[in-house]
Amino acid sequence: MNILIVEDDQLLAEQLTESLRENGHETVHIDDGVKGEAEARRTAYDVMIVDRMMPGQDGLAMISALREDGVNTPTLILSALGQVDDRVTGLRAGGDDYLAKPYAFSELLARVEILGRRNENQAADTTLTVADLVLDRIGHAAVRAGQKIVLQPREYRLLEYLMRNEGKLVTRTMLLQHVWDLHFDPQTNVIDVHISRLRGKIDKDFDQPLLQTVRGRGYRLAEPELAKD
Amino acid sequence: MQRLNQMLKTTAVRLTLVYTLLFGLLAVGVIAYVSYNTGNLIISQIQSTVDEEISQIARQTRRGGVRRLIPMIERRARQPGANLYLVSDAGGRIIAGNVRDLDRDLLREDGWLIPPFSYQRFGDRDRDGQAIAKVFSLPGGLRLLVGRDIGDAERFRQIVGRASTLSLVVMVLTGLVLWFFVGRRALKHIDSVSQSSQRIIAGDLSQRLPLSGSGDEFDRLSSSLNALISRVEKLNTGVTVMSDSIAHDLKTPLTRLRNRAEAALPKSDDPEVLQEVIADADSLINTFNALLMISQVESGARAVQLEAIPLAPILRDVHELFEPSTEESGIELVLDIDAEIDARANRELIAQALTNLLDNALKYGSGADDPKFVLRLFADKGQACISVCDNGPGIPADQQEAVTERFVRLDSSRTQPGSGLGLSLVKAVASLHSGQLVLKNNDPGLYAEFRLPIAV
Repeated sequence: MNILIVEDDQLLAEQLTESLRENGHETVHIDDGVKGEAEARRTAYDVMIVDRMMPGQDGLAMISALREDGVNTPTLILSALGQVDDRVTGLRAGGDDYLAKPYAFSELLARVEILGRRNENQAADTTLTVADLVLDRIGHAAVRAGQKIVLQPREYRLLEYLMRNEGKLVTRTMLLQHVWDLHFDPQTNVIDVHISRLRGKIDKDFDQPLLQTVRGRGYRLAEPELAKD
Repeated sequence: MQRLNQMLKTTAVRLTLVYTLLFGLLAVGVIAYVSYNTGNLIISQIQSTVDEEISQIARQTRRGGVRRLIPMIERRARQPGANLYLVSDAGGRIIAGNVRDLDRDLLREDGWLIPPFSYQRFGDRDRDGQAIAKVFSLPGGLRLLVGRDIGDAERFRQIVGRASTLSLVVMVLTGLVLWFFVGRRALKHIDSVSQSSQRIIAGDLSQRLPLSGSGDEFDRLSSSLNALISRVEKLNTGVTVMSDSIAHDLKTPLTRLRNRAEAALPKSDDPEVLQEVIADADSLINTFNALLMISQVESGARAVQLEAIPLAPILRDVHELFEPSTEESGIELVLDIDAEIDARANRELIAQALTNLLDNALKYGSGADDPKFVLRLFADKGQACISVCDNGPGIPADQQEAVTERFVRLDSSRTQPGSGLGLSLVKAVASLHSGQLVLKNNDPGLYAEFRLPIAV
């Protein structure tokens, strides 16, 4: 993916650049909001990572300005504040996701990869397919290898989120955020139990497990041969 | 009734009561003394008059004999406002005088007849009088009685008595009224001070005790205490600021460490160790995050938006989130929505608080043979109440207050994972919503209640 990093902290930007490149992404680093806005208008990036607090123009003003002119590059906002309502203001300004500094890089990477995917997947396909698992988004029903799977409403949303992000790592925090609309770190294993229930429904009676646990990080739904860790 | 009870316990009221009682007793004493002396004075005056008369009569009888006695007695007896006179023969028959009838036994012995006896006077048929008198033997076996009606003295005594009683009643009533007002004023003052104190004790160190501005003893006491509270607040803020800066400053290098460990993971020969390093770092970061979150929630309503929202959906979401976990642990998780209630609240924070409470219940409250948690929403005394209760071992009553402090954990739970910050956050969230966190015994188990104002 092509990623634009708009961040005034030189050290942080370097670490970010290095880590993202190691994971196979192209990055461009800009260190202030005004230039960042110009760059975002000039080039189509897959994802932008924008620091909230910057000299010149802050991240939120930059994103608002871009959104007004129809530049809809998926954006992850970084903030040193990490306040309860910062996320809300950040998302209101047009950000797509929000992460408080300091962040675990794996969390950032998972979010960036999913944001990058958003454009392709945003088209409201009526069905999602991963291997022999098919999810009917209108009938809210899942079928695997021709066998009907009965899902509770929340299980449907969980599965839909995982299938939409097929092959991508999703963290527990992301699941809580997108499936339950709760934005805090789940300190408990509640999410794991939901996943194991879902696994019981979609994987238990089949040879090929689709829902994989990525130890210490989260989960990934993918065809087994595509799975990598 | 409780208010009266409270009033009876104030110093002002007690003092007034003691003084009223003391003055009352004193007044009763004075009245008794005065009326006793008044009585004695009157009686001794009567006695000296009667003695004087008897000696006159005796003198004249000695000079003129018994023959002159009778007319003399009759003359004296007819004078207006006369004393009592009676002459009888040795057999007790009345010969002369103005006494129509009296107990004849009284005449048998010489000397004073005190206490007062009853008699009837001529022309006064219907009325018994009370008198004291002296009996005196005359030559020839005759007996002379000279006395005085004490009705006037009695009436005087009664007047004095009535006046005194009246003044006593007035005094006691005044005392009671004074008692009531002084007590109420003192109580009002004390009440407002203790209300403020309660808020301060509840953790709002920005509160100060009210000053009336009169510079009285209450004001002086309050301003001294206010200075004390300011000092405590300053120290407390210092501690919080320090722990926050430690958390904040350590979080960045800790995260860097964690990210480095993660970056090294694919190239490592021993990924297990690095995984553990990452897990440990994550748990430290989580503790710091929780600490910063509590401070942020505590530090004020400015940063957090509260809006009128229905509470029931939050409970349903949290119930749904925890239902698989509790089921897996063999716990019955009951959701009981008693009423649909709106409150000015922040959904995220309420959900997080409930998550913390249920998380605690899962960790520490699931020891019963037949574990059961109840998540309930109801209205009570104009407040929205969300309760989470379990039937586990509970928290001893004397530690229920302490466990809401940062890092405080029960000894029995130290072996379990956890930071000791969960309930602190719940409490901070409750105060942010102008509500309270109430912990009680569920007999058995812990009953945690989250109370917040209902939105109108």
